[in-house]
Amino acid sequence: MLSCKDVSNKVAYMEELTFLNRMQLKVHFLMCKHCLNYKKQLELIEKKIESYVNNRYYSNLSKYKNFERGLKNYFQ
Amino acid sequence: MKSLNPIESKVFVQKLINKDNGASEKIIEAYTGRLIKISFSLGFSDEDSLDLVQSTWLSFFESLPKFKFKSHIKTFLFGIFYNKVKELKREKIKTNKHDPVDSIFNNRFDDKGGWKRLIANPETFSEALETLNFIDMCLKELPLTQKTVFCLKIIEKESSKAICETLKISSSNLGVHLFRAKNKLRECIEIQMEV
Repeated sequence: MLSCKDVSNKVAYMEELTFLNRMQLKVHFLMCKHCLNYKKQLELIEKKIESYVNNRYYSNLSKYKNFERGLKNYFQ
Repeated sequence: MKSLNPIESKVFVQKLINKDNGASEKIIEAYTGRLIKISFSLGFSDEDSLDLVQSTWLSFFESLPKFKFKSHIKTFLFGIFYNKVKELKREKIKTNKHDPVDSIFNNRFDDKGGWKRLIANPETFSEALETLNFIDMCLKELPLTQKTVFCLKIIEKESSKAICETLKISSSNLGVHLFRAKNKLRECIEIQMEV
């Protein structure tokens, strides 16, 4: 049986988990609200940072596109 | 199976090396915005980000004739970018055997590995993320490698294999960096919520 600490260790990098590990996590999440909340918090952070970066980029898009055009001309 | 991006094909890279018309334009168009976004997520200002991207492209085109086709061209480009980031930060990259976040993380659990304190529910956490603007500050506090691993994985959606090749780290090291980055960000946000 995985402890909450084991679960939160695994949640941060789920990509390389075995099928058994994934099942163990699923079972744990059914029983432990805190670990489920922890997992959801990490997902929220990922989404928030992604949208922060995209907003920052797209709010100044014309500036960055001009920069890109300058690079293209230079390296032609 | 994931299909190969035309820009990643050998034919395209050969065109780039031969300075074929349009090839440089295509690759600049494909990756400039992405490099700028990664620079932002690494905590660089606008000016620094553009300088960083420009010097990355300069080195890229200079070293292109030496490209050996052992990796994808994107990995080659991102490897150069990462070296530029390291240069800019003048940070000595050493593998930290112990990171302060490990102690903070360990203190969250009792002897049996259970949570000592309740974890805030996702709704409260999400509201705090929306209303308080401390993401940038928390990102800046991450060490360079952790930040880069996190950004390549989350923003760039890069495969673990490519990240390991770009940063020259092992897969288990990648897991440790990702774990530490996510935990540091979470702890930082939680601390800010409490302030």
